[in-house]
Amino acid sequence: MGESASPAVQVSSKSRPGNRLGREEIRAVARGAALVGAEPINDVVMMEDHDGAYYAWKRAGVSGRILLHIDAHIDWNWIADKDPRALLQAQSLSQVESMLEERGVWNLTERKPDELVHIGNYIYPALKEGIVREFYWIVPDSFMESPAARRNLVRQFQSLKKITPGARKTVSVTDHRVVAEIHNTKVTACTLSHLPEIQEPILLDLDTDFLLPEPSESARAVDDLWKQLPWIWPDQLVSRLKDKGIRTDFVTIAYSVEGGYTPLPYKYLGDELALRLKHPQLPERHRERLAHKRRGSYYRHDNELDRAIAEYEMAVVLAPEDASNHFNLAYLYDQEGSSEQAAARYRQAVQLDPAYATAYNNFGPVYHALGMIETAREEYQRLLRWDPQSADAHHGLAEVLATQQRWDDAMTQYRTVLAITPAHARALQGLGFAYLKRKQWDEAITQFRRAIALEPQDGVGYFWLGEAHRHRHRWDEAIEAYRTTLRCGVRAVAIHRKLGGLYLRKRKLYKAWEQYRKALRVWGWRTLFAIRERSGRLWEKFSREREPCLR
Amino acid sequence: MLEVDTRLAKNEKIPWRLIEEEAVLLDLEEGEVLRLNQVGAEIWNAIDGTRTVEEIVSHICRTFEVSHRTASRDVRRFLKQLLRHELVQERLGVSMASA
Repeated sequence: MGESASPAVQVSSKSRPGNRLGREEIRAVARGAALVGAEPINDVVMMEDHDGAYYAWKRAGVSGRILLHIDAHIDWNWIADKDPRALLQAQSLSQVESMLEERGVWNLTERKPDELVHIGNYIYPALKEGIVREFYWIVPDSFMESPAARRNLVRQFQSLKKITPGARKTVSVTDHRVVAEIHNTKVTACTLSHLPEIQEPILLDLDTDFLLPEPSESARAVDDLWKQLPWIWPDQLVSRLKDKGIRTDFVTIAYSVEGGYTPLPYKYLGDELALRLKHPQLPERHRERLAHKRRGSYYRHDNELDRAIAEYEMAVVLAPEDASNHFNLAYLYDQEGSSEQAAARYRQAVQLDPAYATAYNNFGPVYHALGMIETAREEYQRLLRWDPQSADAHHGLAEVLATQQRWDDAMTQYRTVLAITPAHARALQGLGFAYLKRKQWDEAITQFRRAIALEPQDGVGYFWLGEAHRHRHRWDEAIEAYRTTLRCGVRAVAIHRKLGGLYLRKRKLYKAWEQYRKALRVWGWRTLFAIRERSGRLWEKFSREREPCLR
Repeated sequence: MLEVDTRLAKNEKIPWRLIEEEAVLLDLEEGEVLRLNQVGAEIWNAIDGTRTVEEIVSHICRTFEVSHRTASRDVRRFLKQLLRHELVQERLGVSMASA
């Protein structure tokens, strides 16, 4: 599924970002647009990370469009991209104060705004730059099924308000929709069934994870995450879009496997979506292949392994180049106890698509995050049966062992990772942490330093380095490491508390006091960037009217 | 230790501006916005890399009509705070004798 080279909409010289499209422009867009599920769509852009959609829109010169974002996640968070120098242009101090009421929007880190875009916030720059003028977030049906689920949805909007209190003007919540106006942009969250009629062609932005239940929900529903089923299949989604009369000229689809959002066995659903959008009249061979895969999933879900294998083998016959069939077969053969066959299938999948060698090619990380430690361990061991040289599986196993505080075993696994991949920063950090737990401070410092050399922007690495130095009574080095952690953007009460303690040791009372105050502020009682009192009692003796102080 | 002939210079990385007789400073290294009141702003403004501590004290005495003793004590205390926050730095190689 290649990336399209042709732009969706060329911006005319008259159009300005954020403006509603003119009649002529709508006609121009409409000419290139297709009725979803009925007419072929030419421009379908595939990506792993969903923020690729923003860059695809930019490259295509898209402007002033309605976005239909079909995703299990809103992907809209504020980016602290406002240049704080704007504060210095204020006409009055009260204006400065009111500007600072918008928390989390001031970029006080000196990182460039484009370095701050990621999968969780890419819609923000799209709105800000006028690529998108109206935003519909199509949520999975389960998000609106119960009052508790609806409350959860409203909370997401409220979290946006917390950052910019003045931004959200209105919000209305019904059984079917949550509608808000944020910074003059209308935002509607609803299920596809309750999407209002949209006249003009929209930007269609899909995430494959929309099709699957949340991992925790799946873990409750099935005894093994490999057996989970989508709540909606691609053809059903396309059919519902068709029923809604959705027209589009530009589609973006994210796989979102990295991070554990879309389970790798179902990554192919992203490709299936693209295929069905590009070719509504699906050729027979594709229809047959996809039907085999779907039946295979159902048989796997019902624990009918032989029948599931037969279905996927049929799919392989029809499309031997499709990595997903081999990958799904690897699991099924493994369940049958045919480890060699499983390993062969896995190798074939990776050969066809190296992306299948990802750290998320098993449910170990998901189980670990859900606290199902033993199941996570079994998952990593399964992968090691398929690929004994998988650094990620060894690393996952090491992390599990570290959680179980089996430090010796964990260290053995970390060392194995490093023997396979010497520049594995997380393994170095994990090894350092294990040394730290065993009170081998110098060894810990060595490993943390090696990890930092590989990932100099990783604030967490500096934190652990600070911990090791602190235990070693190297106060200055510890202070420097903690300060670097803060400079990397990591904010935690513990860092300020530890810095406060270190400054106390060095009898730098004012600095210690400062850090404890910061700890309190991070703790939540004070706003992050508010102008604040800084001198307190030190200045009380001075003339109240004329005191020189930092406030 | 701040000597009477010590000269201080503003940290050039700190953008700032006087607004309504107060000074607003952006400490981007620490990720903070700071505000100096009228007297603090006057001292901040007087720190130009050429004035000595004593000259700043005299300036504050004249401007706010306070005793030299009070001004000296509080200006020094304030300057130390600015130094601790690395908002200002001592200008090396420039002393009363060489000026």
